[in-house]
Amino acid sequence: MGRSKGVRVLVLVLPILFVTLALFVAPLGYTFLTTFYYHPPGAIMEPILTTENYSKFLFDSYYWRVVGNTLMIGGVTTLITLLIGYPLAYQLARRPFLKTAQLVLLISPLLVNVVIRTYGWKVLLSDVGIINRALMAMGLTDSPIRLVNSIIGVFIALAHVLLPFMVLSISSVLEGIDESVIEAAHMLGASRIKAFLRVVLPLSLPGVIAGSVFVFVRSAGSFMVPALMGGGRVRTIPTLMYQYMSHLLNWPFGAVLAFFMTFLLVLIVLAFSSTAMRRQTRVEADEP
Amino acid sequence: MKRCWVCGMGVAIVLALLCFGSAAVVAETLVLGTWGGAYETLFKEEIIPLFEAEFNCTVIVDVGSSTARIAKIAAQVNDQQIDVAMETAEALLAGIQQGVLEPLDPTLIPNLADVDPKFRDPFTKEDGVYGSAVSWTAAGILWRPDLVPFEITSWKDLWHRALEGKIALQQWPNVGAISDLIFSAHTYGGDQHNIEPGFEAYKALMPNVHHFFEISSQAPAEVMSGEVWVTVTIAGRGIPYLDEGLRITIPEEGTTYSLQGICIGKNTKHYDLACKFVNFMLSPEIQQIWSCGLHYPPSNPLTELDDECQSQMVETPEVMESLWYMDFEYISQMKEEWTERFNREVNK
Repeated sequence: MGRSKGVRVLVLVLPILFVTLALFVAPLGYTFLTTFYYHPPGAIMEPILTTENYSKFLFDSYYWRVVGNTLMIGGVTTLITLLIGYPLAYQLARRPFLKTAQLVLLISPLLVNVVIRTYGWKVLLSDVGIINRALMAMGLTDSPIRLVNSIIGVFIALAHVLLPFMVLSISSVLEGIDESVIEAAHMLGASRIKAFLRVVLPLSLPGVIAGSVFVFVRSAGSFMVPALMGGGRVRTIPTLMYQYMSHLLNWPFGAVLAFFMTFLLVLIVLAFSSTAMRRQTRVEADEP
Repeated sequence: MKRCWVCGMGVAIVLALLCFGSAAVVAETLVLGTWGGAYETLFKEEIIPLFEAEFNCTVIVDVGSSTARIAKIAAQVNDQQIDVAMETAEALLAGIQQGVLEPLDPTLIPNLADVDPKFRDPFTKEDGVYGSAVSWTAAGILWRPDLVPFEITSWKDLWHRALEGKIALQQWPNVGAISDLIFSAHTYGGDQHNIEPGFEAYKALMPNVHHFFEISSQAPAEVMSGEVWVTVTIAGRGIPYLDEGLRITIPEEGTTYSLQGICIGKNTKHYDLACKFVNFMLSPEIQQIWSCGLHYPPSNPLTELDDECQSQMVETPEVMESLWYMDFEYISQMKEEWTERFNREVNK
């Protein structure tokens, strides 16, 4: 009976196992193999094994500066979405006003293709766009402020599209906080601010961490926004990968960048998750 | 009754198979890889219908960038899906180096012999000709005379202080960016084989550069919007905007040029038809359609262009005489090194 059940499970799992192996594991394995291939100048690659690509990446400070830039974009975008998103999430969860309309407005950027959305920002934020024209008409600046073709434009466009993920992560956790816990804090003499800082905020941390992880990974791994909004001046690992893979046809080195980026983001996600789990363990240990 | 019905169905099925079977044998399908936008439109609306009618076949268009297309050709070499590809010179040479292109059969492509050697020889190796240019374009300066406070006549004018933050150049490592480096070299005492003056000049130009654009069709639109005053790109890109006040300057001291090449993917299942397509594209009749449609000079000097068509081209015979020799093979080899230097030294 046990063996026949095992066979049935295997039969059910085989299709997805095959698809995962054939369409994910095998291509990933081949891509990893190409990181050791030789790239002849002016061509693509030859199956001559070498560690040259790894040496080039690990021992050149330029690529570490690009890694730093990539992480900085992820970090700053996460901070921006957190600062804007937390109050919005709190309002949606605890004091909703026209909640459905707010949610529709919040997720509407996700309904538009990323290229169209980003070009929309380019038009709005350009030196001759409506934002700069308004600022100059109001006398707030004599000359256009460089909002697009700069890192500022990258932050604006990334925060715009990733804000919903931060807000929804936090608001779903905030909605789950029992109102009686907050009332108990007030009854014990805590002011509204103290109740928020000592009760609500700690309880909302799982949502904050989940939202932060998602926003960080998406923003650090973004290609289209830095490429279009950065004006060729914002260099990140994804844009560098595109340069090597698509333009320079240096697939081995592009593959090294891809694997390093994946490895780095997995490490960061694990670090965030471990922090969340340790926190959860402490909370459960404190419970009577 | 039932037997008659079954017999009738059987006859109908056999007849249908015969009809469709014979149609399938005649209607060969060719996959053409090309760039989008005006190129795709011209192919689909004018050139492909003529080819399909003449050779009783179907042509499917696969749109993308040159290097992405060569990458596809290389990746699919054991089961080639792209039969004919339009490529920039550097991408075509990368394909030759990688060994993923078929040599062109001169007996099937007699028009190849008529192509100006300047536009065919870069793709000629010891074992054959692997591609040819269909047309060429010169780099030029597109600018707004109502915004720029002086007349632009020379490449050196781009370094003028009045143009601080007012120029858009193409992003690295696109063809236009390499062209920018080479004109910088020529302007300050170097050339493509002595690029150091070019890098120094290019760095000195950066305060005047507002941003880098990805595709050349963006450039004139950004000048017309007023975002920038000047750009450097394919000179012919500015032609649609001449009536709106845009000026195109190809400096007399010389300029770079780029090639719109054509080649055949290795192991194509339709080699003969692919050669016929290449021959078709190099014929004077189709060269005329291509040149007049895109405002690009043809690579086949036997092509006759009417006055209206010639008036829409900025690449005059004088411009052709002033072209700096482009060692595309050398450029293809140096592209990565120059790009990495740009990343480190210029775009810090």
